[in-house]
Amino acid sequence: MDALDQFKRKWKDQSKNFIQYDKEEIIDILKRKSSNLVKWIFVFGVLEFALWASLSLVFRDQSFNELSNSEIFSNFSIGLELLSFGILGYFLVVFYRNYNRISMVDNTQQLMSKILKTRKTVRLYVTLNLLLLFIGTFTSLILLVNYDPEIVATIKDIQAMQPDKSFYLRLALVTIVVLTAAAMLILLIYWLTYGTLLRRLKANYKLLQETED
Amino acid sequence: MELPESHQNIVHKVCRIYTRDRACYDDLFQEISIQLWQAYPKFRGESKFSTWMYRMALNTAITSYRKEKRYKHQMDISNFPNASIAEPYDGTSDHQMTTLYQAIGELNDIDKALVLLYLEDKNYQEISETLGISEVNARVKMNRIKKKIKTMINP
Repeated sequence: MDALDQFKRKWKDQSKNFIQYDKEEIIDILKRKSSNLVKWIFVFGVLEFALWASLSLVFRDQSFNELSNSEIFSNFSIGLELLSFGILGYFLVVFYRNYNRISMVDNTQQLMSKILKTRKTVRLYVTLNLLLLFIGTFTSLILLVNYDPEIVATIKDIQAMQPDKSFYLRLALVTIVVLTAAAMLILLIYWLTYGTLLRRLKANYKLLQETED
Repeated sequence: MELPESHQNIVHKVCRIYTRDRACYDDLFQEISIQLWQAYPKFRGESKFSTWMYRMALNTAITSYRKEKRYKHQMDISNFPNASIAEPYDGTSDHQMTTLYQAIGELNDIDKALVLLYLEDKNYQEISETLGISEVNARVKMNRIKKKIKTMINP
């Protein structure tokens, strides 16, 4: 008999030493706030969908109404807006379906896999939004610079005063720097929130998977 | 839902091995109770109630976010609810249990679950079904853990 087996009896005997809560005390315990991870994943997920959806709304509305009178730019804006909402609708359905499948009665590996899958849906949505932000900003700039009558005129004036071939290069560089900084900031916020929240779960999931390898 | 004594003990044991101080113990006890209370109406009796409880309690402990200080070898035993032992075992046994808890405390979350189920006399089929690993792997892993604990208890 090994060391652990010798403890089995003592392990059972210790039960009489645990505090036993009566019905009222259990009700009191249940009234306190839950800090369940799945609940937080859901709340954060919904908040993110709301934030990104409203951000794209504000961004596109401004671009559409105020930035330019160019027809091609307007069409592009509307297309981007429709695409964003299509993506939002699709991801909301997938997110809710994945969330609904989470069950604490599943075996541990299945449960962790489902939690991570739900989280992955939101991450994919945000990644797609960031990608759309990059593509949208670049394409908007190209369209504005080439088709918006006011901007085309302004650029011509600038180039007439200061003939500089690297104008587009600098414009692209500034855009890349600003967008990269924004993306880095978003990633940092994610790392601080989800990173902390899911660290233990991810580590445990990895441990279980390693067992099966 | 009323928790009979034997079932409350399952929650206590899970909390005891997954936490290092009283505040975290209480938080986890509360979280497991909430999960049990919410899931109970869906309990269909396909498995034994105790099996269902182990699963719920362990899943909550393994997946929950706990803000704990990382300190090793400093488990504050005197702060746990079962520490004020009314009728203690003989001094040696009590000390042995403390040592066992300390050794389990050094294991990772998955190994803790395996040890708990093993000490609760669950067979490997039940252990593998609870954790979602194969029976063979559960057995291999358990043998490694036994050796590890043996070294920790009798260095």
